Amino acid sequence: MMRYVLTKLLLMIPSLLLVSALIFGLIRSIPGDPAEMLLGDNLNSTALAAARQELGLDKAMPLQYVYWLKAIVSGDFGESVMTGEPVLAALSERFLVTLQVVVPAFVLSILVALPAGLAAAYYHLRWIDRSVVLFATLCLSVPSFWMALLLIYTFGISWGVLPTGGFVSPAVDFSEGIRHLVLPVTALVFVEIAILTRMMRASAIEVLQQDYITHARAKGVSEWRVLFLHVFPNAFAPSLTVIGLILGSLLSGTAVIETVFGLPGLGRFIVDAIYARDYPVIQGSLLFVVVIYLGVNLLVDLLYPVFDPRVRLS
Amino acid sequence: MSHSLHPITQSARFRVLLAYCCLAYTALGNAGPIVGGELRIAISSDIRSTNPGVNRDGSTDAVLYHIVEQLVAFTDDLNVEPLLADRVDISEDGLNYIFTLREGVVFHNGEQLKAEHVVSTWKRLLTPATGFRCLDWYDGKGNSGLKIEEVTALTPLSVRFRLNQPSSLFLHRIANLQCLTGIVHPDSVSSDGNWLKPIGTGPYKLEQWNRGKGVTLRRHKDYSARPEVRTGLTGNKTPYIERLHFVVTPDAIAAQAALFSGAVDLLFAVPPAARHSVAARHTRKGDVVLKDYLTLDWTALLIAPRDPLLGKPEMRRAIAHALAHEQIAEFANLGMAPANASPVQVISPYYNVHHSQWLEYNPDKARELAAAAGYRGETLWLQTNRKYSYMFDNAIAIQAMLQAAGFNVQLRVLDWASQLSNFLRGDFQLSSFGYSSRSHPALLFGTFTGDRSLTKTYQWEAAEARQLVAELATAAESEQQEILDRLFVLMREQVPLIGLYNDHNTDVFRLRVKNYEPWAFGRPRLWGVWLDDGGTQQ
Repeated sequence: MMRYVLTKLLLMIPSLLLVSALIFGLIRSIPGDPAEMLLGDNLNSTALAAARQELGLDKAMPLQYVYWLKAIVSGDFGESVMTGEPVLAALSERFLVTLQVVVPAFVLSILVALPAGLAAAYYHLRWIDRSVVLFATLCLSVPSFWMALLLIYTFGISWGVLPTGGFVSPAVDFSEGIRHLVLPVTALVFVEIAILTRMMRASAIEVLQQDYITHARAKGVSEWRVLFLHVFPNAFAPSLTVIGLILGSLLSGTAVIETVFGLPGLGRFIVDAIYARDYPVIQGSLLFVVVIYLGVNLLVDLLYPVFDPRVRLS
Repeated sequence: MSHSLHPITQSARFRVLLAYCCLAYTALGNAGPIVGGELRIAISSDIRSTNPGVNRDGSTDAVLYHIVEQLVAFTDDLNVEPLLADRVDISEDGLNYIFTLREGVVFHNGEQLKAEHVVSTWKRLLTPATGFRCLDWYDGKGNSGLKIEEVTALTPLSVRFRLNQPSSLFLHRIANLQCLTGIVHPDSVSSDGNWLKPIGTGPYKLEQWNRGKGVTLRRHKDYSARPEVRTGLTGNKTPYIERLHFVVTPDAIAAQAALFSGAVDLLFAVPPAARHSVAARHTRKGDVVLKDYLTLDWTALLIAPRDPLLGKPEMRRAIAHALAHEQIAEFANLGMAPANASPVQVISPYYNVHHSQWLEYNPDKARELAAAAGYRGETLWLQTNRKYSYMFDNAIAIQAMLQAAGFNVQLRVLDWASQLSNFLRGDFQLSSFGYSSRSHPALLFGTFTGDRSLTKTYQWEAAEARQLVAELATAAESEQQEILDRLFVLMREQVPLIGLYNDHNTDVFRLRVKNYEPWAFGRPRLWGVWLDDGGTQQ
């Protein structure tokens, strides 16, 4: 097990190197640079040249990459060109906000989607199944920004019971923090629930048709035990990959939800940085996102044998 | 000393009288200013820094001019009047400006404003390491060649600026909003020269900046207000509201929702396309107030000056004849802004009948001229973006009109950074563009007139135009109108670019906000404003 983890961690290094070069090259291949965006209205060639020199953009690209990589290895992610904020500190701050929205949404999605998917499979083609499928399809068809706006209109404007946007950390003011989280978390849950429910339902239907389930029932095992001891673990294993992907994508920022609700999270941070061509922020954030994905993948790999003993880590 | 800039002019005297009448009326028992309360203002993006004139954008300026003040500032009618100065005396040769400071002005840390603070602020701004974005306006390296040779404290309350050449635009430049030259206390900067926080003299002081979330300002209780009525960024700037929260609300629809729910009190610079829904709310519920105004922003169609085809005068005139200005303005502003092809803004005191005359809309003539220029239906690419909706709307209307006149025009929709980059490199054929507010038309002409081999952003290279723009920089007030008129006549002949209109904006606020007035720069001014549920009546 330890050996597996260590090997995986070591394999991350070439992946990160490759991705870092890709990020560095891609962002520079699109028109515009931070010096131009920084100067905005007050642009002239002298000021532009001075700003480029100040930001190190006048150096050859491979040299810029080596400098950046060297700094990253020593833990220095640089400073935002636009705000002068240290990138690592800003990333941690923004990630914490994202975490506070994503974790409750993720947990709630699992708590609702897994039983719903299981129930739909168990009552295959009956009204429960059809209702679950209809609800999941509905959730999947509604874009997240539209769901967010509907929630804002209903609970924020019409009924006036919840704030329409902004962020208050629950650590600072618990009740206000929770009130501010309700709508963004709900909007996220609606989107994620659909994918998970459908995945769980499909897997469970397949498992329910297996011989060992028929055998268990023939032995007189109760339906309750069949469902939770035999169907659930076997159906959950394939869903684990999807759960990992969902968690990775959520943790790397939910730009749309963060923008609509005015949350200073990681997704909005990255999108703003891309529009502003804020190279240090884009590079640092995307590298961070890659680390999140690799970390979640590793976690999923480690969890697989728990739910499916046929899988062995080697 | 030959010229003086005094704070109270004749019209100002009338305004003072009017203000006293209003005060007397108020004293008779009607609702007057109320001190206290908290106001929440939506801003579309976080501020970039708290360092005036160094790292800025529109949101940053809007926050910072509540904290710091310049020696002089713009009035509502775009004149420059004293702000921290009590008077400005200009020498006969136009090379020396003496600013006599007002007595009793205090910084946020309680210290009195002195001439030495003006000197230290300007020394810092003029040091290249500070990174002042408009340094080339004052160091002799810019287009005008203007240089501040020396800033000296003559007495504890008077400062002299010595210039290398006379400049009719010097006061306009130091009153500029995008390059704030606000006077700050030396404690705003650490001993090693690093910026700490702004300690200014403005009506509000910085309380907290939560990055990504917003900025909170607190009322400067010891603010020393001028006696004149509020106008532009000067006059009486007494703060009444205890706290101003500038809340980052990036999504425009979410910002409207926040206004309707009461989570924010003020939205500023709402574009015409989004005005409909706030107007509907006003009609239906009556809990928000709309204020419409024309800005100094100027939208234009840029035409590549050195393009083999588009560089020909006939082709440029052909494009101008193919565009119906009034219709474009109507389409993009829903009828709320008149067309304006001239860089002299509609609300500028220099705007007259000459500037309302442009090439007639005549598609047949456009076809003839295009054929004479050798146009054979080649594809012309028009660049635009979705960040600024008016640029996109303009592009749609321009494309339709040019196609109707026989031009094969295709849109290239880019993100703003890409379009801006292409503009800077001169890498476009046609570009739907916008110039942000310039207080004086000369500054706008100067932005697009010059030698393109030096700077690619210049659209007009004609020697005669450059000569006139250079004359504007030093011309006396009385000569400026004539030069501006001549410049526009020349522009009509040569069509270096095609101006469309000055933007229309709407500011929207909840009923509890009192005495709020928008102005041409499209950013909120929150001194002199109070909340009817704020606290203690004055």
